[in-house]
Formats: sequence, C-alpha cells, structure tokens
Amino acid sequence: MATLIDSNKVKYLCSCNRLKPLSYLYYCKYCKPLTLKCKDCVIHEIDQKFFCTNCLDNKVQKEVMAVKYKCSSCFNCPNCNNLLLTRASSVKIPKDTAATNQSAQTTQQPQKVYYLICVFCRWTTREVGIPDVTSVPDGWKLLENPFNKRIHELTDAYKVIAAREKLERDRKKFPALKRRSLYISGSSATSSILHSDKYGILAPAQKRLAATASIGNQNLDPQITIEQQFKSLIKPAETIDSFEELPEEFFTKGSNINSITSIAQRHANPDFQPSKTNELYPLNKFYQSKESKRCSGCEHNVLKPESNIISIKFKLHQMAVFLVPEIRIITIPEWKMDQPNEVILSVTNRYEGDVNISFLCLGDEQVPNLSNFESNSKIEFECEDTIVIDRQDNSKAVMAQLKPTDERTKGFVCFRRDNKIAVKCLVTPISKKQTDKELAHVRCIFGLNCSINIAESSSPQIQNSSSGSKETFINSVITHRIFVDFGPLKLEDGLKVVPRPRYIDDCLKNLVK
Amino acid sequence: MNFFEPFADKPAIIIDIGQAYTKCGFAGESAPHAIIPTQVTLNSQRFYLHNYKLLPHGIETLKEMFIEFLYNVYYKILNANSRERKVVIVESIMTSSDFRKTLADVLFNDFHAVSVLFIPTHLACTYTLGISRALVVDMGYNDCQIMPISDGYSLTNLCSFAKLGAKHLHDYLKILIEKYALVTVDGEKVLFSSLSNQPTLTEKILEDIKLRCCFVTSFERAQKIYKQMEIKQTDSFNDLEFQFAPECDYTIESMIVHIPGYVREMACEIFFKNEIDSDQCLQNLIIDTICKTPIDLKKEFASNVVLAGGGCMLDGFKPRLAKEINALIETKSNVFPCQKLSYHKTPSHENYTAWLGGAIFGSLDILDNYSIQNTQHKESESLPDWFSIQIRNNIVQT
Repeated sequence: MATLIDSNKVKYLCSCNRLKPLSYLYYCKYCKPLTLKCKDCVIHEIDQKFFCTNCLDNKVQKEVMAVKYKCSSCFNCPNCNNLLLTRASSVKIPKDTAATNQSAQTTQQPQKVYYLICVFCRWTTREVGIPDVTSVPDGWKLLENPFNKRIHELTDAYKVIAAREKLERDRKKFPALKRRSLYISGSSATSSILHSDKYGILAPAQKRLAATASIGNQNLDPQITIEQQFKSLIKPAETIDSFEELPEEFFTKGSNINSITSIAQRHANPDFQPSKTNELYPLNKFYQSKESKRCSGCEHNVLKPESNIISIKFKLHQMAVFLVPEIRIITIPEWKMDQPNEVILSVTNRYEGDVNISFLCLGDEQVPNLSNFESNSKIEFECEDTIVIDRQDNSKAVMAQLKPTDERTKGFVCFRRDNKIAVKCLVTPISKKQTDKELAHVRCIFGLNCSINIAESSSPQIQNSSSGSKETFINSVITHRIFVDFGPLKLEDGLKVVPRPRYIDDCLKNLVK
Repeated sequence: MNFFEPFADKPAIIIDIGQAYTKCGFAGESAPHAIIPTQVTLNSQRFYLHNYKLLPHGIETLKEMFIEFLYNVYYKILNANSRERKVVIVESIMTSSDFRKTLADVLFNDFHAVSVLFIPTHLACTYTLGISRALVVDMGYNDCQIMPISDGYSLTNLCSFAKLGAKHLHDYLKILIEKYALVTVDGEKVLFSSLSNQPTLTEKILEDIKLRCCFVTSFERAQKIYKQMEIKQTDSFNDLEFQFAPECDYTIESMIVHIPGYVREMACEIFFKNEIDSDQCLQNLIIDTICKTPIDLKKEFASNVVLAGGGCMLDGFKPRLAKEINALIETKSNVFPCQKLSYHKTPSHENYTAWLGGAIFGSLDILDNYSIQNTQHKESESLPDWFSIQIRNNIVQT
C-alpha cells in the first residue's frame, strides 16, 4: 500500500510548467488568478539569523562569516558524520609539580578531563591521539590551514596590483575630462559638489578614495610595470626538481584498508584531507538558517518561518495542500490494452471550507510541461457533474456514507467519509501511443475544476468589534491539471494488482435510505 | 564607476564544477567550504551533471539539473542568497558551449546572480603561485589536460589532452579485478570471474578500491617488471617471478575480495605505458607539449610545471612522473633544452588548486571589470566564449 501513497505518482502542474506532487507546492493568493508555485519558481531568501542546530547558538551574518560558518563548541564525527558528545573522566594529577624531594608528600587532586565520543560508530578523540581537554569552552580548537600565510601574502600582493590596474582603467575611461581634484582644497571648496554634499556622495566617495589612494597611488610610476611591482611585493614560488619516493613499506608490508580514509571522509575536511584514519580530527558543525520563500510574480511572501529559532511553526504557511484537493490512487487493475480498466481514485479536501469539484476529460490534448510527460492512456469519467466534498470535521466521528446527491451519479462516487471521497474512473491504455516497450507506464492527464469560497477581508480588523472584520467570501474556480502515472503496464517483479478495498464495498452497503 | 557597492562586504561565491567533484566556497578563503560530487538526484536516481547527453531531452534536463544542483549549493551548503552575490565559475576551456551557456542562463535568469565570471582552470592555478608563465597539467576525472599559460593567456593552440583520467583508471581496474582477483567462498579462494553472481563493481566501489588499495609503483620496480614481461613474452602478471606488494582484502556486499599485489601496483600503469599507442602516455604528452612551444618560452615552461587535479594525489604518482620524464628527456637530449623539469608546489591540495586560484581572483577589486554583469547578459545575444571574437562598435574584442 505504501506505493500508492507514493507522492511521485500523482503530480500537479505548477505555474512554471513543472510537475510536482501536491506536497511540494505553495500557492500565492495575491496573484490573480490564484497560482501554484514550486521550489524552482519561487524566490528563496536566507534569514539573517544563523544558528547552530545543536547548541542553538545565535549569530548574525557578519559574525558568522568571521567564524567561517563553524560552531566552536559542536562537533561532528569525522568517521560517520554524526554528532559528537562530550564525556568526562577523572584523572589524578599531582597538585604541586614544583616539589622536588617530597614525592611521598605530593597530594593528588582529581581533575575532570573531557573527550569526545560518537554514539554511533564509537569513535573517540583518544583513538586519534588528541589529548583530553581540561576546560570545554577552550576545547578542540579549529586547526589552521598550514598554507594560510602564503595565501594571504599572495592575496595582498594581488590586491595592490588590482588596485593599480583598476585606477589605470578608470583613468583610461575618462581621458578627456579634466581630472578635478576630489580632495577638498581651500579655494575650490565652495564650488566643489562634494563639499556641499548635496547628492549624498561625499562619504562613499571618500571611503573609496581612501581605500585605493594609499595602495594604488604609491607606485604610479609608469616606468615600473605591473609585473615588476608584483615581483617586488612577493617572494616568488619555489620549485623542486624531484619528489619524495614512496616508503618501502608500501611494497613490503600489507596495509590494513581500515586505516585509510574514504573519499567522503577526506572531502569533509577540505583543508587537511587526511589520508590515514589516525589523522582524523573532529569536524565543526556548520551554522544554518531558515529560509523564507517569495512568489516570483508578485513578490509577496509565500512561506515565512517564525523568527524564534526553536519554533518549527510558520508565520505564513501557504501550502497548496491546504487549498487544493489531493488525489490519490486506491486501486490498480491488471491492465488490458485498448479496453477500459476500472480504477478508483480518492479525493481528499484539506481546505477550511467545502469544495465543489468536477472532473474534466482532456481527450487527446497534450499539456505542455517541462518534464516531458506525455499521456498514453485515455481517462474517462462517467459523470461530469459537480460533487461536493465537505471540510474536515473533527467534532464528531463520521461514518462512511454516501449522500443522496451521490446516488444520482450512478456509482461514480463510490465512497464518502468526512472530507474524503472515492470516484470510479475508466482508464484505457492506447496501444498506438506506447513508445518504450520495456518501460511502458500507464500515464494519463485530466483536469480538476475546484470551486472554493476564499475569504477576502475588505477592511482591517477593528478592535473591540464583536463581529471582527467584514469578511466577504468570493467564489473562485480554479482548474488544475493533474498528471497520473499508474505504473508499469505489465505488473512484474512483485508488483501486484491492488483490488478494491473493503471499506468501499461497506460504504456502498450503507446507502442512506 | 559606481560609488555605491552594496555587495562590497559580501565575498563572491567561487564554484569549480569538475567532472566528478564540485568545489564550492567563498572568495578570500584558503580552502573550499565543501567538496561535493557533481551529481543530482532526478526521479530517485543519481546522475552526473556532465552525462546530460545520455538522457532523453538532454539540454532541458541539464537546465533542471543545474537548478537543482545550484539550489543545493547556494542554500544548503553555502547558506547565501543568490541575488546578492557575485559568482566566479572555474571551468576548463574545453567545456562544451552548451554546458557553459546553460549554466550562465540558469545563474542569471533563475538565480539572479549579480555578475558571473568564467575563469579557465589552468589560468586559475597560476594565481596560487604568483607566476605568469607555467605549464599546467590538470589530472581530472574524464581526461588529463596539459595547457601552457603565458601572461594571462591560455595558449590553446599548444595544449594537449589525453583520455587518461580517473574514469579510465577505474575501467582498467575493473578489468584487472575481474581477471585476477580472488574471492573467499566457503573458506575457499576462487577466481572472481568464476563466480556465478558477481557483485557489481560500481563507480563508487572502484573509486574506493583505487583510493585504499592501489598506488603508483616506483620507476625502478616498473622497469624490472616490464623487462621480465618482455623476456617471458607474457601479458599476464601472475606468471612473473617478481615480488609484488602483498595483497589486500576488500569487502564488497559481504564478500571478501582479495586484490592481488600486482593489481594494486599495476592498475595505475595506464598513465605511463600505453600498449596500443606508445606515445599516448603522460610523460610523452608533457614533453611533446613543451617541444611544441615557441623557442623563447621553452625553458620557462620547462622550469615552471604545475601539477593540479585530483589525479596527482595518488600515492607515488609525482615521483614516478618526475622519473619517467627524466628518463624520456635522456633519450631526447638533443631536442630538449634542459636536463630536467622543475615542479611547483601549490599552497593547496591538488584537487582544489584551481578553486583556490578562483578564490584569490574573486577577492580582488577588479572582479567587476572582467565579469559579465546581469544587465550585460540580458542585452547580449550570446555568451562570450574563449574561442569567439565579438565585433562591438566596430572594434574587435575578445
């Protein structure tokens, strides 16, 4: 049964022409008409607050960039990438180390030392030889990349050259303009635009000049080329003629493959990439932040998480699941080509009000979409009237019972319980349209007309008013295109026909008299 | 000249999309933030981004794969808003135009990057050393690219590349394992090839075996082995009397596979000896490339060789390559100007040397002058390519 709830079977068409399961879609109520949005057509925004998922340590973006997104107190196991826990043990340390001949009288103080241990793979810092730490906040410091110094030297030298090049380019761009002094000098003070700061460009201009003036202007002597200047700034890279040979042990001693790290373990620590397991070091956890999504059409927020880090709720939670009825497959028959096969689909309404739906046969029309989904079967609905689906009512236990209106559909609606109905459809796989003979899946496309009453508050909420804001309900009809992939034409390898479940048969017996 | 730079304090994002692994991080850092496989999950299957041609509807699928991949890079790994950041993409000059164009389209249209700069891999490697002339050897997954760089230009007319990448090493290793490896079944050692249900040697398993068991043997040993093979006129390794390295036990799907010593030592020999075409091996390619260069630059290239790419990190690779090249130079001493080549040691692990070069360049002020701005991309019809010349305002500009 799990394969039927598999969300990859029934997909809805998003406004960007992509097919996504209903749980992956958002809706934007400010776009007219109401549009569905998916992850790929919505604008993502990272929240400014960053937090460590383990210790919930709060940091703003600037602080986080300074620490390279790494939390100093939480670690991941380098072996299996799970959380490392701190364990304490007691060690007796002689209190007075300066004592000379009084070994018999030195007292021993028990001291707590800490080490890290992974609960899943039992890796500890002791295995690698890291000494136990006496105070946790100072703990296991981030090891510095040994090449840092050289890289900083290179970058600083390049920055000087870049500043000079930029200055030369900028000067080239405006050769005809008389280069007015941007510095405020006595006589031209009154005439200089910058002095009056009328357009607010004084501060950034000065900042920019200050940055480039000191480094760029120093060596503007055109006699000294950029290359020569660079060479004077930095020690050139050294070359070697031969490399260290492999030690003899490679050829004589057998190696234990468990002492060599895997590629994933090496990539987890790009600075060091240890090749032996006895060089592994605890990995700092990364700071993460919440994402909020925005509709690309109208720039209104579609999803907004709460600013409180711990809370998993959302301030704005416009998920399509709460608006559009969800369709699922209940039964799968044994497929017969070019004959109508009976399939039962369920429709669940998770909207806060009642929904009127009607099905739409699309015939041979192919709906353009980005996943190149082509229907190769025809789906028919015996009844094209509107059917009402109630909203979810948690106040009382509801029995599975068909309404009088359902009986008029002559068996089309075969089940109804609370906010869920089941409908019988006929699917005919067409043999002419089967392209891949091996991977033939039965695919069909149909339309679903949903008519819902959306509350549109016309005036803001008035305080002290018992009736609250004036809410006018506007009826809107949206047609969704639904793409169903029933599965392989030939049921093999353990896939079975799913027969009609008993609850449907029971419901049909409970007809309201 | 813009006085207002709201993105001045946000470092640019540097991404090096390799054939097998992608290195991503921020400008100004000494190492990438993360190294992830260049793969995307589509319809519950993992695909390499560069294998888009094998899928139906290749280019459109590539676009979807890029969106998925870059979403992962931006929001899950780097935690950066794509609208606020400049991007530097480190790529090989030999990347197909389709790939490059789709990447630029996705970055500008779907992720709204401020500006994008494509920087060649080999050129980027020279930034990590502060030299202007070098011969960069990039050992990647798909192939090995040897490109001379001079004064900021990649000399593409003199470059050469060979299908000697990690992929080919894995294929050869697979052949060797299927031919020579032994498996313990019911306490007995039987040949791998004789098993009825052989475990599938996937790319991931082969990479792991290569990493943990294989190494590049030393020059002297290799010479002895080849001599014996010639004397005995045999292709197979287990007939030789040579003392190979001890075997290694590897577990695949609860079966213990014994990888014999000769497989461990000789798997990497495809780089240095080619049965079919004796010129298609690394040392020959490097020497030939240097010989093709103009006479005034030959000595400079010979004394500035840079080894980059993950393939160079194999155990024993570099000393072997140096010795093979020296041996080759001795045979060609009348044509070649110097006795030996000089190699540079980059301030990074070889697999992210190019990324580091991109990071150094990405932290400079003149990034804007070289990048393609968002507004510029919308106006121009096509992306400027390394081999194309645009005629703009009656002036030829590359």
